[in-house]
Amino acid sequence: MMELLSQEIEKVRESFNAEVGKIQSASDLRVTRETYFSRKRGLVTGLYNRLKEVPGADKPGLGMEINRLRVFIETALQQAEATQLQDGKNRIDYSLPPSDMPVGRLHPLTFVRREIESIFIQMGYEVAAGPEIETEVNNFDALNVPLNHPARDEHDTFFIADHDGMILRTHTSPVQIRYMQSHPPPIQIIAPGKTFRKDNPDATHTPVFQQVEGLLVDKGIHFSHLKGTLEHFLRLFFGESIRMMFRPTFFPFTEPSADVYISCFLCEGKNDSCPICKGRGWLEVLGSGMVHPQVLRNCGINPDIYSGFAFGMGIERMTIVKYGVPDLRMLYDNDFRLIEQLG
Amino acid sequence: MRIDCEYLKEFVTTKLTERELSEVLFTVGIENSIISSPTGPVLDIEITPNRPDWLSHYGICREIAARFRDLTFRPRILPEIVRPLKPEPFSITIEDPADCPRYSGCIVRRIKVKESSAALKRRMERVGLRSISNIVDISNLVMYTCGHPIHIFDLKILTGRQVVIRRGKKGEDLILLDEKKIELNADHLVIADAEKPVALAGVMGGLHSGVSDSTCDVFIESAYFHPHLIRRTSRQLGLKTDASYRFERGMNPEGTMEAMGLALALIEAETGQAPQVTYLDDVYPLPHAPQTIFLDKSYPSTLTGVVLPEHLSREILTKLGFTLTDQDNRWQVTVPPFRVDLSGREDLVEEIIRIYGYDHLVAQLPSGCSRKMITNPEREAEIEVGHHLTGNGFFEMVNYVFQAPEDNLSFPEYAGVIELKNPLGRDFSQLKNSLLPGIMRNMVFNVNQGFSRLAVFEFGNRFYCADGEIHEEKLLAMAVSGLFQKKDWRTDEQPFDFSTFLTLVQSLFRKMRWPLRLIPDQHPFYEEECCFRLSTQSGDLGLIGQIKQDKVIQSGLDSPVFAAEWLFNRLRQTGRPRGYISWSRFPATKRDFSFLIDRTKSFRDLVQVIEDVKPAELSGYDLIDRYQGEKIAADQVGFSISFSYRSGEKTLTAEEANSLHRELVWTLVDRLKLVQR
Repeated sequence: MMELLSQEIEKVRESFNAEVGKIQSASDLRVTRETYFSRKRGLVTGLYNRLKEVPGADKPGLGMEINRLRVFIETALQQAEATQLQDGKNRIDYSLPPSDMPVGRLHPLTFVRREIESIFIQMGYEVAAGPEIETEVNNFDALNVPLNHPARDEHDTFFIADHDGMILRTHTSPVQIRYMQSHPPPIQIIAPGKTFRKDNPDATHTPVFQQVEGLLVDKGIHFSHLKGTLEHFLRLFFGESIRMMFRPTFFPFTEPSADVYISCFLCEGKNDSCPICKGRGWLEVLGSGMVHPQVLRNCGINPDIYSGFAFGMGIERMTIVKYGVPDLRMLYDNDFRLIEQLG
Repeated sequence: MRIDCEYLKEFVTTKLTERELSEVLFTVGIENSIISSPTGPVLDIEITPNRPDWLSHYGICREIAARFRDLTFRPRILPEIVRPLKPEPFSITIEDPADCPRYSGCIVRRIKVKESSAALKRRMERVGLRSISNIVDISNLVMYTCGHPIHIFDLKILTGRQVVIRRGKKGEDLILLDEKKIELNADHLVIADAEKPVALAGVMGGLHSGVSDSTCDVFIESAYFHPHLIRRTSRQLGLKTDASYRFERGMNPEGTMEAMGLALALIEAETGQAPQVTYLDDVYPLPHAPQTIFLDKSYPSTLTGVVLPEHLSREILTKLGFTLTDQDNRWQVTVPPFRVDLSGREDLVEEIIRIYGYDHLVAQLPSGCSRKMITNPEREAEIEVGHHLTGNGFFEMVNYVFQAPEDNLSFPEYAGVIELKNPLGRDFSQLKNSLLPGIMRNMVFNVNQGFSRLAVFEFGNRFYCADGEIHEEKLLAMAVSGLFQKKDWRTDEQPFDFSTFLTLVQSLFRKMRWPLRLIPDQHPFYEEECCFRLSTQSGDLGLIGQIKQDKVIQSGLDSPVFAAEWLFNRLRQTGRPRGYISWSRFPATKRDFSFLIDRTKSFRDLVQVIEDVKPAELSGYDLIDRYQGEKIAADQVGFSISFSYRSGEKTLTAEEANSLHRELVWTLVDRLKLVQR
């Protein structure tokens, strides 16, 4: 019995000597301590337990050996701890910064366009597209815009050289015309895309800008459906607390027509010199109306059977209103800093 | 135009304040703001182009009265104009009734032209006009009151006791009230006497025929001119006046006599004496044909989705000046002659609902529209590409479609460049046939903001003309420059090179399941040695390579630029569709092959031979090492390739793999004169 215990003591010492060199970190240290001194399974603790079974005469001797071993291990562990703290070579500093993995972003106009598209897709709208170079007929005549309308002046619309009757489209309404001419009702589409007007770039105008227009044509569609649809969209896009105002206006291609405003979320109508709404308390965001029967007729749709509504918004304007960009031109600078913030 | 609320209240008994009136007008569709003036606030209104009848106090009063059940619009009561029993000799001649369908005129003798009374001056100030003299102010006030522009001439200037409304003649000229002389021609409509033109009809009076301190007798004109003619004249001469603005939008042909009567009433009020009218005529060769619209009584409710009782519709329309005749389940509606904007029943519904209030519309969603839905693969591909590229560190650019001719010239294959007739400037005079010059400019901009890592992409159209037809095609362009990896505590900085760019491109193509097959090519925009075309079954879809150094320097960048531009819609159609293909159950085994090859050969040449001779069991190979330098001859380069072998039927034994590998190595050594290491 005596031999067995002193042999065990030796084994524990050997095992520790083999392990101590491998201690690299604070957790290694902890594990080693546990291995030898844990109350239930510690190897040295086990030796003390075995001591109880040894006959009385051998106890003091073996007891002293175990004590010597214990002191030896504790000292060695303390030294290992001290070495750890001084010698940084083996220590792993987990607080070092990670490498930079670059993340790119979509352009804010694309991001906002997708936001708008998602809301309408959820409502069952299809996304339609059309050419950026259009005929004057699709862009104006089919939409009931008369020949002497100021928008048809050369100082408002870009005309294509050597191609009479071709222009850069001034809105995405021509996409609606094309769609109506090639699909029988019911029709439920949105048409996002680039549009062009001869404007010198300033804080609120750029010669190239983007719109999303929508069109719904079916039996029994009326003005209240339009109000409901737009209210639904605005709540989802700007937030539940937004208030909406529907106000009469004029477009050659809709009748009745309405401009849609949202309550200014900066001042809520309480600041007469509010930089965003100029004291009005309301921000114009959408134009809309019931599709003019002449436009339906121009597309081969019988206005006595079908009615519809149409609406349009500027993506830049929605971006500026929702995200607070101060100058429209910034959206075409393509500055990474802006794209990083809003994309 | 300024609206004086005090003046309004002479015609409609409302107690609303300026602020409240402003609100009311806004809700019925009239844009306006409140302006302060020395005598108190006034409204400044803006009309939409279809409502010239709003350009008058009467027009605004009508709107307010229609809005409120208890209000009535009462225009100024005018005494009946008494035709003189023995009129003095005078004649009004209209050359072409189409130009001037109605001309009413009268002579008033013994008028004292002097400073306006305090009341008239105050009225002028409140509507924002300068007070000139009693007669001139009255003619302006008539226009601001009932909306109809009139003109007052000094009678003594009119020679020959006549007024002729005719086209101008070449060689004639006229000095206008603003002291400018204009050369007349047959496009202009003029008011003339027996000898000379005295006014530009509907636009501006002549300087010499106008009212002045020496005037004792006047001729008052109240006429209706054809809108298009006035518009043409106004545009051609660059003259825009209160009168021309109204006439070109369409005035009221039935309103000329009322305007004249108003002028006479105002003269009486101002002078204290009944005006002495010695001549009066109303030449009306082309009478206005009243416009009729039929309105089903249920239609307003149908179109608005709001229950609108019949009496409401009738009341509102009547107050706005429409006349309704009952015809069972519909009305025959006569449009008042001052309304030029209506064409059908939907216009009438708009009148009803806007006066009643758009706030009565109840927001409803239409019930689901059942129709054949289709997928939109182009859009989905764009979204997927956008996700992948942004995830790999690319920023998306959105640019204009314009390009300077020099930029387009770098792409000589696109001969049919499209130009604008009226561009914003020379640099914007053509439409893009490539996105690359634009995104290079974006990169320069961002370098100047301090960015050292540039990776951008853009979706945009290119435009060209072929066989007289205009074409648009969507492109996907990508470009990188600068640092791929910034320096940090673990790595050195690593600039972009063609290989890192190609890694990113390959990653995109893999994600989209597009095959990537590049063939060396030449193009003036790219470096000779580094230019490849993307070759697919549906043709060549674009190029990838290193941009020519001189173009890079010219644009202002100082690190090399690697770029690619492809026809997006055809590219996305090369994608392999998803589908299950069984894979081998048996493991692959690898064998390496290290060798030296002649430096003049490229890796491509190796690949071509491997593809040509590879056994069916070759499941793949990777270039795992490339070395040159000390231990290798100057005219050679070393490669190590790891080949993977796998059979579809069984696990290959070591001998079988060795045998296949030996066979392959032997062929490669033979064909390419390799030296095994």
